[in-house]
Amino acid sequence: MADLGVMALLLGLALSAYSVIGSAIGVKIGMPALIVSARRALYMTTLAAAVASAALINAFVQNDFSIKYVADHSNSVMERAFVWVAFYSGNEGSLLYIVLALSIMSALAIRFAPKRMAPSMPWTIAVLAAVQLFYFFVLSFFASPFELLETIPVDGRGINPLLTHPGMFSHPPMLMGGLIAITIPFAFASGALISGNYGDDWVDVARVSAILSWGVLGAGLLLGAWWAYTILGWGGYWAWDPIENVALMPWLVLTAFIHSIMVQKRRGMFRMWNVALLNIAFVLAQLGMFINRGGPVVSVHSFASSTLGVIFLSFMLLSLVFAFGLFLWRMPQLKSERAMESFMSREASFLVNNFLLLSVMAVTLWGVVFPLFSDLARDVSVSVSAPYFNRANGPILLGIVLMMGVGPLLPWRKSSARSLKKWFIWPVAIGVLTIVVLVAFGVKRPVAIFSFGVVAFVATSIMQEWWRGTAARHRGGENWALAWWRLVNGNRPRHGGYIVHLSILMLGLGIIGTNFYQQRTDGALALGESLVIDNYRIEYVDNGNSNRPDRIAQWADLSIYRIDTADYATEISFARAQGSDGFTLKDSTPRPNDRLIGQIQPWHGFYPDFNMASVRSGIRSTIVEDLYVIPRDFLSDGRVSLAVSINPLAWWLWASGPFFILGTMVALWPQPAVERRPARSKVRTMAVGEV
Amino acid sequence: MAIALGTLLALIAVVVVAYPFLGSKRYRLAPERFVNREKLRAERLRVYRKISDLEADHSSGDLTGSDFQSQRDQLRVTAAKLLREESGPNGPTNDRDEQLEKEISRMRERSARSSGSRDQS
Amino acid sequence: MASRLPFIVIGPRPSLSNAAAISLLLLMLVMFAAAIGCIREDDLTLEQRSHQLAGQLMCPVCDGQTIDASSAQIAQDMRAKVRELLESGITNAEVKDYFVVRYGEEILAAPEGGGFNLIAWIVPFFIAFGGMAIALLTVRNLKRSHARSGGLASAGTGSAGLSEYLAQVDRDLGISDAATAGAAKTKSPKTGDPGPGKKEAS
Repeated sequence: MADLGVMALLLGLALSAYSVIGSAIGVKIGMPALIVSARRALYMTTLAAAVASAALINAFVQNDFSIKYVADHSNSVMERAFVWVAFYSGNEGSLLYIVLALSIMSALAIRFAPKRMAPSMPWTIAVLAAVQLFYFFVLSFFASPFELLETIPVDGRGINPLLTHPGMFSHPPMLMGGLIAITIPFAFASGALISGNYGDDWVDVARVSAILSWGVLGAGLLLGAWWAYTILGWGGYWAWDPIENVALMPWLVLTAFIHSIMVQKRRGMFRMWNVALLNIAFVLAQLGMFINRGGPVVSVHSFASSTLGVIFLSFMLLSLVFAFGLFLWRMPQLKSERAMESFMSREASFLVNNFLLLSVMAVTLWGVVFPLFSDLARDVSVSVSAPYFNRANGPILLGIVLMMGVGPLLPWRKSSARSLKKWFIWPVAIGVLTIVVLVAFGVKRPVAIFSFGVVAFVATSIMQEWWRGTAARHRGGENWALAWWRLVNGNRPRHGGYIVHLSILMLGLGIIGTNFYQQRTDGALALGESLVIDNYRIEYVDNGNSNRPDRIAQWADLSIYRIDTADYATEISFARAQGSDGFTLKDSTPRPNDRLIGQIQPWHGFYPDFNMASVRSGIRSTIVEDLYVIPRDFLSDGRVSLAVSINPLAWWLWASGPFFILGTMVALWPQPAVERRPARSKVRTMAVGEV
Repeated sequence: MAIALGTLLALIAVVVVAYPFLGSKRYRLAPERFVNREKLRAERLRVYRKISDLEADHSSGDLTGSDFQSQRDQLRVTAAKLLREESGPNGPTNDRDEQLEKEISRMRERSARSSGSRDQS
Repeated sequence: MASRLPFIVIGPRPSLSNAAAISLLLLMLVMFAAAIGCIREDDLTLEQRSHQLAGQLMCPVCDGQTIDASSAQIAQDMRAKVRELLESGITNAEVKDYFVVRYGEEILAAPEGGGFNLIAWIVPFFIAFGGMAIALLTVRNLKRSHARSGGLASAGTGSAGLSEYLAQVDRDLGISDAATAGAAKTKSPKTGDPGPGKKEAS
């Protein structure tokens, strides 16, 4: 099967090369048959990528350990379902997955592109094919998943234990798919620029494909955070790790794009800017691929470092030169139709939001490259991790959230002082009120209190928007529910956006809560002992193990009690004197007001072959706070060492997910036709006529 | 076995890609008039969309009456100009459209016939 | 006919709005600065401080994790050491120095100190404020070009003979409200004329 895979990859290489050249020459010499042929070649790369992928998956299913990739990433005891994960668990396989995803998306994009795009399609196809060409090239000559071993091992090495979780079925493919999907809007924009179709024809397709890529990427990031928090027991959900950062950066740029593209759609402005944003997003996606594969920065996620780094760096630089060369070449043609009229307008607020989003991107990029810079400039290694990013990006992120509340309150073009006063008064009042109430109740951490105020301001502003629109329709005689439904349907991009904004606010609540109000304690418990933190008592009741030849795994049965701190007053004051927030109790006899509220079973596994530990945290979650227990280690004296934290508002982090997806879908849902003409018998012609 | 499958795959790809050169079917660029008309139509629909967005903003109280009127009238005129351009110089009829549609359907028929005859041979 | 369309409505420029916006912004900045200024280290318990510090020290053997997050043995030992040092009553900065001396600057999760490392912190300021400045300047430039072009006057030209098309547009969009003064006036007398849309039935 390895031969089939290799042949399919080479075929893909040839087809994509032909597609690039055929499209370009076909347009230049005006040869329609060649253009059609080049397009068909791009459809065929999908087949080639699919056959290569099928060959690799088949090799996994057959346990064909003569193939190095299979031997390295699976073994005969691996559950069959994880073949899908093993497929992309290494460098070579993930590249194959990427080219598969890209070729499928390319085929769909050129199949469903509107016919009026015909003049620019050959160039769009050429760009898509060129990107595929690069990946087929790397797969064929530098990172072949079909490389054979000279001596066939009896069994494979097995899959990376960190990946053997259902979350892995969707998180990596979503991130990689979302990153590579940026190629689609980029190709549409490039095609329009190269062919000289400067109109807004590419805007709709680019917007839809960009939102798709953005939604998949965003959902993938959120899923990764959820997975790190609930399953991996990393203690956190976002570590500002380089790999996370390189996925976040294009997402931020796409966020800017899907906002400013609305300004182009509505007001014909920001034409240059939108093209530039897509270019930046595409180049950053390639930077992500570079850093993911043998890049120069240290990461928890690193795929085995490889010599691919140089190749990916070259491709990234090449795409940078191409994208911005094209942009500069065509810049004079990308004039705005209209001019800005006021600072206090929605288009101005979108521009500000764009710059804030790009600032976060730039600061993050700076943080990622600073260690390299320091190494080069003065030969001292430094680390740039979460504390840096939190402090440098935190204020800008808060500014972005603030703009989420300001933007919707400003009308297009310009606003009058009266309307400003009218629309800002309630949100500002509620925001200030929130701050006052929190201060009055003695809540600590001023930054967090201010942030809560901002969240309240934005939430009120969105609610006011819905209230205002619904009420206006209600006055027109519709009942409330119908009025709201019609309001949302009347402008789906906008109201879908509001739903996404609400999800971001939920995310914000979780981030503020966990960052500013987390309580933590560590302790080692013998059976029957308890750990007390705040008003929780955690009793170590029992343990068990699920060892396998390839792993040593143990779990602890923990009972969680809600306690009345008055019952434990002496112990608490003793611990306080020691400077501790929690303490262990030898005697776990329940005191009068103890109440059993749940049981958790954190799990700890060690994989000797990989010298790797894998942890499942135990969580008792409510909308107010999570009690979060990571088993650090099972000690040789029979005790279990626990890291316990109380994470306020963590539930909201994950509650935001469904709203994010829902909002994205609403924004993407096709708007009904505005034209109330009797439908015409539509002329159906192919872009390049197969008439 | 694998080699045979691979060769078959390559053959399929070559046939599919070479087909446009081999068949008797002739390809031509979509007529510029047609593409232009589609573009104008798309542009007009975009203007319509803007108008309906304005109406939504107006009905939800986002826009004051006079702002709404002036912006909508601007867009209406833009749309009307596009419509005029779309209809060509002969006034607001679709004569040219119909001609074009007829021409295209004639061509489609012809190509259908020719491909049919090839199938029979 | 075209001249009757109220194309351009440029009202008196709201002078208050910019001032209001800027003062709002300033107010928020002041509040923000005040909020940040209020953070004090000393209201934290020893345990909170040690977790905070653990979050600022990298685990030397694990890729990109702090000792707070890592379960590696060395991370556990380092956490214990942090606690021990804090119990001896030294400041956070001294604890960090202790580790920097032993492991090098790389042990710090964020670059610290003056000199070269200051660049790491200054650049974000430039990015954020530079970005905002560019955004605001862009708006201002765009506004200026708007003032120069005298608003959107182009829509008024060449609209003679548009009435039939306007009527068609209105039909397409279902605009029928007689209350829309501009629209009503531009409606051509031969509204009943079957427009392009109606011919499709054939």
